[in-house]
Amino acid sequence: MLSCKDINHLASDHIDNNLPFFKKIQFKLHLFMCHNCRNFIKQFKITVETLKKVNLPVETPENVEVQVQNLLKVNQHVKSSTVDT
Amino acid sequence: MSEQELIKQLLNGNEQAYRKVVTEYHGSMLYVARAIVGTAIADEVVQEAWVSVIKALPKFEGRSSLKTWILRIVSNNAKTRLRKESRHYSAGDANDVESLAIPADRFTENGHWSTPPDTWDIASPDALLASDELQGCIKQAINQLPEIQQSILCLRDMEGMSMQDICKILEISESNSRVLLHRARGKVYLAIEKFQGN
Repeated sequence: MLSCKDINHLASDHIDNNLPFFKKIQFKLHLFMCHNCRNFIKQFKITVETLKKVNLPVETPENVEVQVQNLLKVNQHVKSSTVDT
Repeated sequence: MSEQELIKQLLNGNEQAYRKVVTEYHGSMLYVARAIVGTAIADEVVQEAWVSVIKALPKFEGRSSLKTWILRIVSNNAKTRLRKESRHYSAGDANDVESLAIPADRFTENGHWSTPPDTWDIASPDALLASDELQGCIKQAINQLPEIQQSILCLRDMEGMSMQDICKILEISESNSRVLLHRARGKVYLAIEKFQGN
């Protein structure tokens, strides 16, 4: 029989569908009987779904244009050294 | 644009293709570099990795996605950098990390809740993100995560990479990465819970 603490421990594996068959049955049985864990799992799922939607500011190099030009030079160099050999 | 087309454009030196990859992949590259070398020199490692990527691109065989291949180059460059500095990379050990999402002190000795979770008033992803203040609180919780947890959380939950790819890139076992992901999600959960309780 899983405890509430076990449910807490297995929450991500449950959400990511990674629990082995019998563990999954035990997990669901516990949720069926425990209001607090049902509440916790529901809110933990909301957290993960929120993370999938949250927009962190996109981290780009300080100067994208300078970076692009530098990389184009590297590419040019690679191409010319391939032709030379 | 398909990935094959993008690679062709990159090899041909198409400026727009370069702009696209630099803008799209730079953030993920930083997550990987930070997890391995730390924040202080992550930028430098990513810059070096870009040069390695362009040099190696003609040899790209397409056995993984372009993004996974690029992130592996970042990972290798970061580990080389650590070796040069005589430092070692240790992607968090599951034994060092509390594997509970919620702190153990919220449970009794026999594993029942002693402080059960409150029911949230704001209870859908869209509603949570609609509040600027709450969105800020979630972002702050993510920013405060240890680098390795932040890296796994962002690559997995926000960018949708497979755990298998993440494990290969960060050279971490699947069980360790799952514990670190669970812990990171737990910290975000607690931040939302705290906000809703106030």
